[in-house]
Amino acid sequence: MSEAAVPLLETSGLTKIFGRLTALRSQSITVRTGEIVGVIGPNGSGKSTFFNCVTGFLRPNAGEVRLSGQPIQNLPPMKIARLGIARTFQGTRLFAGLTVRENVRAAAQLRHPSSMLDAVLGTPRLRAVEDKVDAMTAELLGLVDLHRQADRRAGDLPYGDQRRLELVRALATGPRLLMLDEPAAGMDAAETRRLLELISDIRHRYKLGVIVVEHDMDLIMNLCDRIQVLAAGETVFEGTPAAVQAHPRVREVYLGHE
Amino acid sequence: MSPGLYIAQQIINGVSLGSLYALVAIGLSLVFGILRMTNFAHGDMMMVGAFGALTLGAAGVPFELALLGGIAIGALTGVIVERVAYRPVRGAADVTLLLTSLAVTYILENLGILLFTSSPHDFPIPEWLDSSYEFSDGQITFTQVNVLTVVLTGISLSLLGWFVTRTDMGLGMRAAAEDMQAANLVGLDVNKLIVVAFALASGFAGLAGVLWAAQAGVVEPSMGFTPLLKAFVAAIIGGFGSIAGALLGGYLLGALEVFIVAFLPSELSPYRDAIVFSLLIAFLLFRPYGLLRTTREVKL
Repeated sequence: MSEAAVPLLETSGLTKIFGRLTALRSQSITVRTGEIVGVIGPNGSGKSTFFNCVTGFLRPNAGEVRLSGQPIQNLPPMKIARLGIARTFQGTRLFAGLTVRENVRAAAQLRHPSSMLDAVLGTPRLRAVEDKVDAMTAELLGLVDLHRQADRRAGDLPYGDQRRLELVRALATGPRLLMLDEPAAGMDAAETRRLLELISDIRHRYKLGVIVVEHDMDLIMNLCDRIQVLAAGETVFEGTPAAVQAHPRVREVYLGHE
Repeated sequence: MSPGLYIAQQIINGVSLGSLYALVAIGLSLVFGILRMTNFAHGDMMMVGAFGALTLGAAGVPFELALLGGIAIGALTGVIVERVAYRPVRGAADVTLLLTSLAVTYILENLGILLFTSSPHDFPIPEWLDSSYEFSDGQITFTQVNVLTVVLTGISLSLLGWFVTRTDMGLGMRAAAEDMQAANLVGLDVNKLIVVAFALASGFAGLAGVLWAAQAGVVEPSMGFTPLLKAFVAAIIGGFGSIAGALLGGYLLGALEVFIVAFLPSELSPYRDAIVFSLLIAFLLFRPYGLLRTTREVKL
């Protein structure tokens, strides 16, 4: 099989059961590099369970998660992050007591490590790595207009800025797949618009596949190439934004709530 | 005797004692910061370090190397304890971790008794260390061990400060202390960071143990208990989980203890520890975050 034919992310038969509740039932999704796929559904439909199974925070009861063909469903979160999946959370999970810059730097270590020996000796290698990390940090903070806040404590930023910082912190790990959990929550219309432009921009700039879980239908419909609709852990429908909007059952299970 | 010199003498005593408290308290805070766990076995790393140095000394190793050996043995013991006792129960209820650390305390102390008996052993120090300085006709005196304590504490804490603020691993450790899951998620090797935190904390405790033994002249298996309690108070005063707080708390507590004895009526001296622990209770009641507030709630 040629490289391009292997999808970036592929889940098949993904099932997660909590006690008597089947949170996710035989879910399958395919995401290719450069694609933005939306996952929508009412609360409790399995979106977060899906995220947690892919990023290693939950172990599925059945099914497979493959990243570029490699099964990853039994790996711990740290290994999965190293293989190239980055995510953000509903509500932020920043290193609140660290500065904005340190948040990005802590994540940038993954692709730009320097050893203790380098640090002790102050080797030229250390200098080179630090220059690279500095340049990357400046670029990423520039993307979200946070470069002037670089030395502020992350926990002191306004909420919208915290969300954007979390997004670039995820990017700093050098991912192939970026998973965004309700990135527009708590943002106003103008901020959501900027977020939309940012996400479309970075998928090309950093050659990413993107999965977005979001309740903001405006964002989802304008951003995504494809949308998967979940309800009670099952995939109800999958298709283009136009097809999703036209589908009667989708209107019933989800859009009807809007 | 001039009051100025008397105060100067008490400050010297306070700094020397405070250095030891700070060394131990910083280890408690390092581990608590990253694992949210109060490691009651921490005091026993002092004992292990001191007995390690004693054993090496008895085997003919020069004191300077035996001291380094004590640090290394303390650090190694901390790493082994983390791997064997704490890692398997990580993520369990807080009380499980707490009880596990108490169990480790008993095991280590009884191991000490088994190997060295429960009676105190003389802790010999070399000639160059067994001397003291006198100034102003003996109104100010301090020992070479005092000097060594303050100097080695200063060096250790400077290295720690450099490590935490200037290296990748130090940054990773601070990130994991903020949010361990998020640290995992950005690919930080949290297990490795925890091992390093234990090695550093226990190495500091090992150093404190050797210095403590050098000052007291004796070592015994239960020697870690009192300093642990004191370090605990110091860490609470400064703000549990905060390295700077533990440093501040250690020196404040050292100064306080010395000043209680030096400046309060002598009838109150026997109540020194009672006063110190009353202070702990007062802090827990009225300022549980300590002087340098940490961002998280204090869990005990």
